[in-house]
Amino acid sequence: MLCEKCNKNRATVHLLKIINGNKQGIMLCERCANELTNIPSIVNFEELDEFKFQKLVSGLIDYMNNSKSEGDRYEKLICNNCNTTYKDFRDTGFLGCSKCYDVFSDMINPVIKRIQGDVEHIGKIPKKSSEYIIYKRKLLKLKSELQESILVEEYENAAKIRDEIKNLTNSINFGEDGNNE
Amino acid sequence: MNNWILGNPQNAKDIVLSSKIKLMRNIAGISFPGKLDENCSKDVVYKIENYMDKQSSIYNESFKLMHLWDCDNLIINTYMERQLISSKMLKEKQKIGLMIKEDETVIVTINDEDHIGIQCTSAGLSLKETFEEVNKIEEFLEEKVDLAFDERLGYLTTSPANLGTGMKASIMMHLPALTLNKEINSLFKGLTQVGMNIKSVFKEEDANFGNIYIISNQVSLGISEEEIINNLEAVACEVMLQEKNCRNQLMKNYEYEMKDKIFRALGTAQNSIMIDLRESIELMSYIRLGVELDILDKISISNLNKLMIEVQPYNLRLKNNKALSEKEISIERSLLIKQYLKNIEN
Repeated sequence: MLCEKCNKNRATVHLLKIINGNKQGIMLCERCANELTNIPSIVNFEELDEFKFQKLVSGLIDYMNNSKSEGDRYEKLICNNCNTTYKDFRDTGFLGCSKCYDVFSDMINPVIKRIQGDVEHIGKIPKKSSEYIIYKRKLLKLKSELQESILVEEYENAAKIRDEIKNLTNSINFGEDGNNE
Repeated sequence: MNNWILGNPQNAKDIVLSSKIKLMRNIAGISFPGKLDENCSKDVVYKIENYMDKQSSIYNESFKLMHLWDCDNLIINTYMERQLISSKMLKEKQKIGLMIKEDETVIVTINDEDHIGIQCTSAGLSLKETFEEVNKIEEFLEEKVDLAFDERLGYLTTSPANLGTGMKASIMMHLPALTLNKEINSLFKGLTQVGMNIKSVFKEEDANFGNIYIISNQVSLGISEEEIINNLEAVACEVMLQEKNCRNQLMKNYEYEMKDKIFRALGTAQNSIMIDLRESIELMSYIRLGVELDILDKISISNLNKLMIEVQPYNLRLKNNKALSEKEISIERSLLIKQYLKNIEN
């Protein structure tokens, strides 16, 4: 039978409250039982740690997105690839697939900023994607240099950069998505 | 590369028991393990195993393949006690595959929290060496599998806490003096400020015991792998220094009290008839301190490491090959400890 509190998980704990001879019983899943009674049924240290951290993440997500008026819109969001809902993410702190990062980006980004800091990845890149990423980064850099040259009216320099960009885009033929997800 | 349990004879007494690096990766295009059903999960396991089989040409030792769904829960629990896998894996055993190197320094997990987890543990402070080992395997896999990766967020993991490098580096240290002095509390606070996490290996109802701690990096995005390793190493060295200073102070001011504690621990361990896990781990911490301070000899650190694993309940059950009651476990534990510590006269 289902837990009488959350109606989601299977009930495995029978909590019996006896006050002054009056018996009250309720069937709960392990998680709800833990929340209600503070009796740890898990003794293993690692499990407690993981659980607490994920709860922290979920709590953060809740807090960050509750104050926004778009909270309702978020509730309806679902990832087409894996059927993860916003609620799933909020409850567990885990995502369902790589597409989820796009679908839920609005709500994930502030959480990532809080946990990891406001930064971008600077570590290892998979070899397959590395060529494309290096190309993209170079292109971006050249484009901004082009803008700068135009601003300071160094048109000769700008022309040189423009040609460089042209060479770069012609020599390396990538599609819109490149090689990475 | 030495298995941490066996230790590194040169610097076995160095406070750092082991260094571990774990890389978390996911296959592009497939849902993360939490969203896969049993059959799809098993497909992922078989797929990765196929790729990794060719490993034997790169490595001399082959990997032992294990499917947790075919494994006895007892075995799975012993692996957990040996710190090879996490407790979560027991719950999801229907979906998980493992590849363990013969000397148990390297383990590749499939469908744990992420599709692929490459983990290496080695003795002492040896993060760079350990990283090279996992990196080799990762680069090999990378050629065969498209990994889920985003230019900005780095390697995409199930938990946003592991994005970016997808790397968790950790070291295991024995810090009895800092715990005695209660300085460990300020360490707990201080480390979070530098993006690191510390937790006790042994815990019972929110009380830590055993004086063995694991320090790991908290942040994995916006920082390179090299930086994570360097930062952790720097922290390890600093903590080691603090612990050594603390020990020196304690021995200088409380020499008799410390020796008393150490020898009492040895005496109890050598003579008890029944002993529970907590007490055995606490005694071993004092004995280990005795060895590290050269007060006790004829006991090797590697024996203490082995003991630390083997006194745990599932390992005892496995050794005795039968179901044991709590009382029987504490009797067996006592016998085991006596076996290891007999003939030690100091």
